[in-house]
Amino acid sequence: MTLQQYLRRAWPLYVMIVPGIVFVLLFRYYPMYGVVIAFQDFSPAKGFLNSPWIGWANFEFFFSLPYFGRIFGNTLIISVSKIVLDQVGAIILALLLNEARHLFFRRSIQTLIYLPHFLSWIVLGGILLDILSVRGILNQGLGLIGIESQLFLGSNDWFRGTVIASGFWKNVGFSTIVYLAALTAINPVLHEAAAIDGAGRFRRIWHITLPGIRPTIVLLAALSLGDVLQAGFEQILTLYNPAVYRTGDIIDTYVYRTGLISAQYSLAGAVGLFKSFIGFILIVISYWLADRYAGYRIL
Amino acid sequence: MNKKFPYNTSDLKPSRRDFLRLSGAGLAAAMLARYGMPPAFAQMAGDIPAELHPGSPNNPRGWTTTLPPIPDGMPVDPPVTITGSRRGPWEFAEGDDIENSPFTRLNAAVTGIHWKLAFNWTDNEAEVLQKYNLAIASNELPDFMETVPLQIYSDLLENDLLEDITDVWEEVAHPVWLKEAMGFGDGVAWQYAEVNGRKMGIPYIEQAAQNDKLLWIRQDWLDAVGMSAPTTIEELHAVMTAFVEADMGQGGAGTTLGIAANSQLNAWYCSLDPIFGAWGVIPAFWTPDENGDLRYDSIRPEIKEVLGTLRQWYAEGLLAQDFFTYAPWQNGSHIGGNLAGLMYTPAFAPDFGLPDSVANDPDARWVFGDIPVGPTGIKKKAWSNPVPETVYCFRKGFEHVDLVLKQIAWWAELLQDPKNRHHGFEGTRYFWRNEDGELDPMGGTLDLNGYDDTKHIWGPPGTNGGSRTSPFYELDLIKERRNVWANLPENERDAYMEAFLGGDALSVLWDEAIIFAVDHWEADGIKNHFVTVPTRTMELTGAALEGLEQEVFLNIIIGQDPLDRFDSFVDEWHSGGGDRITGEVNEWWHGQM
Repeated sequence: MTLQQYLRRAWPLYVMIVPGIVFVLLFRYYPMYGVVIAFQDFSPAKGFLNSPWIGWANFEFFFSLPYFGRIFGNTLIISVSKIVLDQVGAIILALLLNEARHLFFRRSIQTLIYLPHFLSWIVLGGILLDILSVRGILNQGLGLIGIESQLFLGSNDWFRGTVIASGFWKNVGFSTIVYLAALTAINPVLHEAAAIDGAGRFRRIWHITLPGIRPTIVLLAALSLGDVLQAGFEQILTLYNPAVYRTGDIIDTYVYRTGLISAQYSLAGAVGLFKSFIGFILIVISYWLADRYAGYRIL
Repeated sequence: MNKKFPYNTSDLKPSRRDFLRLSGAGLAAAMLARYGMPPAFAQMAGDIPAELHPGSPNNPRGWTTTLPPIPDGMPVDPPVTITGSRRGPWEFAEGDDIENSPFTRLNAAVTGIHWKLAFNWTDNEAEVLQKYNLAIASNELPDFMETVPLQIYSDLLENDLLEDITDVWEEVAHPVWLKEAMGFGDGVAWQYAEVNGRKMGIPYIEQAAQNDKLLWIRQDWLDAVGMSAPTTIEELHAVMTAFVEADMGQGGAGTTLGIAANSQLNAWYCSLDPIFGAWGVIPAFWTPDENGDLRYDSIRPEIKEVLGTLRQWYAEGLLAQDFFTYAPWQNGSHIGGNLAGLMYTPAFAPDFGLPDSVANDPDARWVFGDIPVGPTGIKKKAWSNPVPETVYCFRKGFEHVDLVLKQIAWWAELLQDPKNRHHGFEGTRYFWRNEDGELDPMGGTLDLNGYDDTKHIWGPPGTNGGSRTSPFYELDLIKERRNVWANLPENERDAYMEAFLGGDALSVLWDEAIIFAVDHWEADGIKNHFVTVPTRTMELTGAALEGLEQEVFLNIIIGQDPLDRFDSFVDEWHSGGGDRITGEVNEWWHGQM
């Protein structure tokens, strides 16, 4: 087939992807020139062209922040825990729901665990502040079984756990649905055959269901690596207080507070670029992992 | 004891006895006739059509408003159009909008100025910055800029985008309603608007002592435990302990709080600043030392003593176990739910917290009084600065600054002179969307209290937030009302109050609290003397140091850190940029002299 023949046949396909490419160029690549403010002492009155260039100073300042180690550590601990818990929890939930025979029961649970996903952290934060307070319903319940009330949001022993658990509660429903969708793709014939061969429920999960969704697991886990510096800004902002900065202060909340004192666009830009850079590296790694272990690749 | 706490919710309830002799609608008319409201339109200069006139002379409970004389050379001919930015949002009825309302119509007739909206923002810190930055970047600054935040202001100054109004001000600013009104407190009004001796804008002025704390206390709880109102910190401790031990609160067993508090030690509601003040310090304030240099109060040894005291109180269960997880507004439910019988809150307590408290417990009787003194006889609290960190500015090259100044003076005289009796426009049921998205009535139709927010007015006075040109406007109104009331024959006071003062015990308590707070404003206030844009090092490390300070202070109070953590905090503060900040602050401070 000559190039001409190929084009004659395939040109509609190229036309069809033009809007998508234009969209990406216009809204994803064109605004990227704004990233220059990370290397400037940016002032809106001077604009991109006339703001003075200061090289790596914003990055040097960011890395030399007195608590850089602490906020970086908190960010990693919270986000990695969230990613792991979210994936494992979603797989288990999906498997359990998949085994549930009663359709109404299954749909109800699915909807209920999916529900918090639609509420904003501002709303959920208010609810959690109430539930988790010293006189909140959780501590009252613990009191009934003789456990002393705990400062879930005020103690450095509890705060990370509270953030991770409440993040799990909000997000696990969404991840579960993705796995449930993957589970429907498994051919029921395999299950029937295994059952005839005498495989019990757990053996079938282990040898059929899990291998069946392995590509999805690897793909989702790999892709979530790109979020490893996103520990949940809104969530922590609504839940934390100065007493738990030690364990709960993350990069985003710290930069938010720093930026509030005076609009430090350049610093915020530098931090954003740094996070994108880390995210980019991890995406590349995860793409390689996805290709290696799940056979997922674009080209 | 009653001498110290003269004001309480029951004493000032109007008795109905005399009132019943007069009949409803006739009452106000009789009052009007008898006590001589100024005659309608009497002092009006020029031709202002009656339908543009504020007031409600035809209403049986109405009033008439006197308009001040029209300024020289106004209304200008031909009329001018001026663009401005506004803090919104708003909602108008019947085809009116922010550019065409009772205010703009009267204003156009008086001054010849037509206002045009350049852009507006909602009550959102990020949005106002965004909108102003956009206007700067696109080189489309409005002629008149409402409440420019300080960081935008310094950017505008640095890039020479603001009109210097010094000369125009000297020439046309009204001697009473602008120059004198803004001349209070050795020129403190101009702390931001004046730069190197030049006026680069007009200050935003709140009301005197607006956020100064009073000690609010449950008189009925005091009576129940057989104690009198605390006058010292030691007595305060005894009262708190008694309240908690007697479990006076309305919540479940053991839920009574000694005093309501939150994560902010110097908060706008349920604050602890008067406790720090009892040792002569306020966290995060810059105060002059004996050499005349500014020092940072948070690192002074007195702070350690206060933290030790609060730490002990927390250990004794006088503060909520999780007080440091609350924002100030959340204390509203502790007061409203009658969990606490003590708080340090400004005069507006009868508007927030107390109404719920009284609704949930009809026996609740709140009184307020002076703050207790500390162990060495110090009685101090944070002085609330009536000039917040914002300025009204004019675009560089704007030609009509003089007209705007004249307009401001005219409206200031109309609104701020109680004798003019401006209470809004009759029949304008306009609403303002508040931060919760609910509709607040704006410029009440029959708001006889004299509290007319006038949010639809362009430029000070007015605007959303209610700035005025004088910090004593509210006080003057209250005094005038009470003055009229006091000069009435005793058997007619209740009726007058019912008709003109609202007659609600809580609002009367509010008035009393404002008068009391203003009386103690200068004497008891510790002033933060650092009033300018943040220094370079503050911009860089200020947030880190501030976060460290809050973290250490709270952790000391709740016992997660030892008390001696304070000493290492002071060292960290010095080495972490605090010394450089102190140098920069004093450089500015001595440059001011």
